[in-house]
Amino acid sequence: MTENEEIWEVFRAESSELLQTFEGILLEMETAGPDADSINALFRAAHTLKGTAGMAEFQGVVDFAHVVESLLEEARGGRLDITPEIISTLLLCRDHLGDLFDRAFGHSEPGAEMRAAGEALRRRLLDALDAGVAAELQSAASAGADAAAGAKQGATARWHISIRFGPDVFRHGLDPIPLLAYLKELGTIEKLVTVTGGLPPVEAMDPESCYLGCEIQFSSDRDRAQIEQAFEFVRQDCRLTVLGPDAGLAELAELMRALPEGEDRAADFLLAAGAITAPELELLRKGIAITEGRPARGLAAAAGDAAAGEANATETPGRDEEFASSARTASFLRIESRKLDALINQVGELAITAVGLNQAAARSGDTDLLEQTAIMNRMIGEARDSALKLRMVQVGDTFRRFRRYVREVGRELGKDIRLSISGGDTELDKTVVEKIEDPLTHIIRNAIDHGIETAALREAAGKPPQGTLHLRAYHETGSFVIEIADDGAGIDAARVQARAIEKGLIKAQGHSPAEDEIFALLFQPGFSTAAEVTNLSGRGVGLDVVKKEIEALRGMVNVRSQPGAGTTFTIRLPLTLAIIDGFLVGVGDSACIVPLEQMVECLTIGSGDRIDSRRNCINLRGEVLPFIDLGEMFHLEAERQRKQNIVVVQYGDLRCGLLVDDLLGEYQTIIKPLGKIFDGLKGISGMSVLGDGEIAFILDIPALAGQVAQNEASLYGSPV
Amino acid sequence: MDCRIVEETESLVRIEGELTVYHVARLRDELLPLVRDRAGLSLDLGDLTVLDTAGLQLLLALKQEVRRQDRELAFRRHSPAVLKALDLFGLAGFCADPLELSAEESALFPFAYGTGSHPEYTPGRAAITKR
Repeated sequence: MTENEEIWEVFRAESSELLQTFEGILLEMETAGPDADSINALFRAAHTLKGTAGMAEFQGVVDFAHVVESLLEEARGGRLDITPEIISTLLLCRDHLGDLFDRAFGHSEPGAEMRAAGEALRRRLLDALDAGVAAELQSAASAGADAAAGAKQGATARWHISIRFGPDVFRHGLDPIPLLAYLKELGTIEKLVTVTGGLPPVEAMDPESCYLGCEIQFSSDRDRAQIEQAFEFVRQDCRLTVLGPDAGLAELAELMRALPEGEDRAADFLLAAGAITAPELELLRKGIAITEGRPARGLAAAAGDAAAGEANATETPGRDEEFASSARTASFLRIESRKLDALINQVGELAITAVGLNQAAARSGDTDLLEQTAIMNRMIGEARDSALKLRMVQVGDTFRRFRRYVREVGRELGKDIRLSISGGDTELDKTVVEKIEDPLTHIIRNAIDHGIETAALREAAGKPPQGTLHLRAYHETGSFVIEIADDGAGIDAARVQARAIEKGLIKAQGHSPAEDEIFALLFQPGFSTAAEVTNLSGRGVGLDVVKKEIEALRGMVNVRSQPGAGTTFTIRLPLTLAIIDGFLVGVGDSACIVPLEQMVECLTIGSGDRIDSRRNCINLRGEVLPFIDLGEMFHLEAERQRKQNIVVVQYGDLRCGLLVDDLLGEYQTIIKPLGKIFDGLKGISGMSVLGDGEIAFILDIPALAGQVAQNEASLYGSPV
Repeated sequence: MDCRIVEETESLVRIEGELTVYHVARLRDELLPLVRDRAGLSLDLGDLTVLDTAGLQLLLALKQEVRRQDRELAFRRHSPAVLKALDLFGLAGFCADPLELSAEESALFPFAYGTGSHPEYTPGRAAITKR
């Protein structure tokens, strides 16, 4: 990837994130109604989008974003009301902006149709703006009320802003002068000291590089985000520290150490800007103030304004939180996922190498060596966990993306549906998150289309007219679970069965199969119970694809439903695709790996332990446990030992045993995918290379457990 | 618009136009030899219609250069663009030139800070007179 492409990637990621934010706020507004905070946030998103487009030199996007921004500027100033119509228009604008960005990134010009759509939207925005201006004239009379509202926005607090502009600020077309002028609009610059110390001698300087910085004492009633916002466009190009009213000496000391002038010179500037007093500086220099637990000290108090200091102290809790959250944002780092993958792969290889080393150490019998390898193993395990965590992202962003979808699809079908989300902070491997979006979309579309009834039908059934769709995520025994629950009509098991018989998927039977089994039919290819084929779903391609996609992620999907009350789809996924903790077993001369998280226990059986000669079953503490003979299944039969072992595994509700020859112990491994040629292979999900270079197959427990259940069902016509 | 040196005498150099990032490289090359060799030189800034941070930075660098040689480079006849930059950046004290503000200018540029001593130039002080 060239440097240029990398920058391009950053722009792309940033713009899509911003568009997502923009949309999120709009949808929030639609349900909760617009308030000052959300309008501000919306404006900021539009403003930043314009800035991003500007930096990427996408003039078309800048122009359009500018109109959107102007409208929001009016709304922010209270001169324009955000009506539901405007929200709808803005949502369309968001789509148009997305299209414009796509075109720009693809280096192509928008087509005539797109230009026309853009023009229409632009006109709608301008119309809304005109209406706003008319309202402005009316509201001019009530300007007094506005001033009163402004006054209660928050007490004035004293901040310290330290900024060093980066060398490329001018070259990027940015000028600090308007920035400072804008800062003045947010509050009062009490003191400002320009740091000129970085200026080289004239003949040595590059006049187009920026060498300046400022230490600013700033009074404002704005919050941190608003103040930092002023520096938004130079943010990438500068070193910015904003110290809040409750910043302590420790923060100042840290700032001083970090400033490029060096601690002593920086202290002079901070002193001149009133960020610190001479006695405090003395304390710091003696190293007294940096001890932990020292109470925070208000910057305002330093200026000798004790009363203001107390006022600030009462505000501290709120500010703290704000500070914490902004500190959190500041500590994020955007990393190319390719680099993470490489790291995870390397850590995985390291774990494999360690296994080889362990075996060698065990053979040598050297206790020192054994002890050291044990420690190393633990550390490799921790490194692996940390590496994997890097890939973990919260699923909430993906969930929230569906809000828009639910809204649009609901509207199209004339259904009022609310999407509620819980467990959005549950983490999952990014690769998995990306891959569940399609199946999720499918299930959600199904729920809206077939599950949730129209308002009229709902009212007739005594339900609230607004339908609810609930997305929920949680962790459960090494799996990640997503539930998609609707409060719709539910699935009629009898109808599903009738349909399956009609389609020839099952035979008409004397007895009626269990509900689980009937619902499982929904995932069969070519199955659809929809009476009408709509634009959205019910074309008979659907849940079977969902099932395939989820199984490709080593996951499982099932459905529960209660007629009249609703349907719940449950998707169960492994936490990560890259590495598993496994248990190594020997089958014949080969090795297989059972994912540890799906393993329940191991037991040794003799030839007399089978309870049924006709099928593979043992008596496990009074319960019937069906098992699969792996040697027989994979044709790996060696000379049978008298004693064999059963590994008991569980996936979801399915429990079964695997008959193996040897139990070789726990084994941590990275999964290497099998080539396309092995696509049809059942019961094996991947492979791994052992420390000695041999290959081990990773068993696909969901598939094996499913097969056992099927065998049992075909023998007895009912599930186990 | 361009930026150029329009007058050059033994004691005064006058520049005119827009001193911005687009012209700073050339102006540096043109101004450096002029300010370097002369004692008691003034820069007449009265005809600078635009001054951006890059332009301001060049002026500061020139001033500092002359100070290194224990001489002074005075700025004279500050145009509103120059006043605005000095006011915002609090550099009136650092530059230590007498400033003459019209009534209109003193309303626009309050010089609320940065008129005294500067860490990089402790003798700094701006003598502001209002016309």
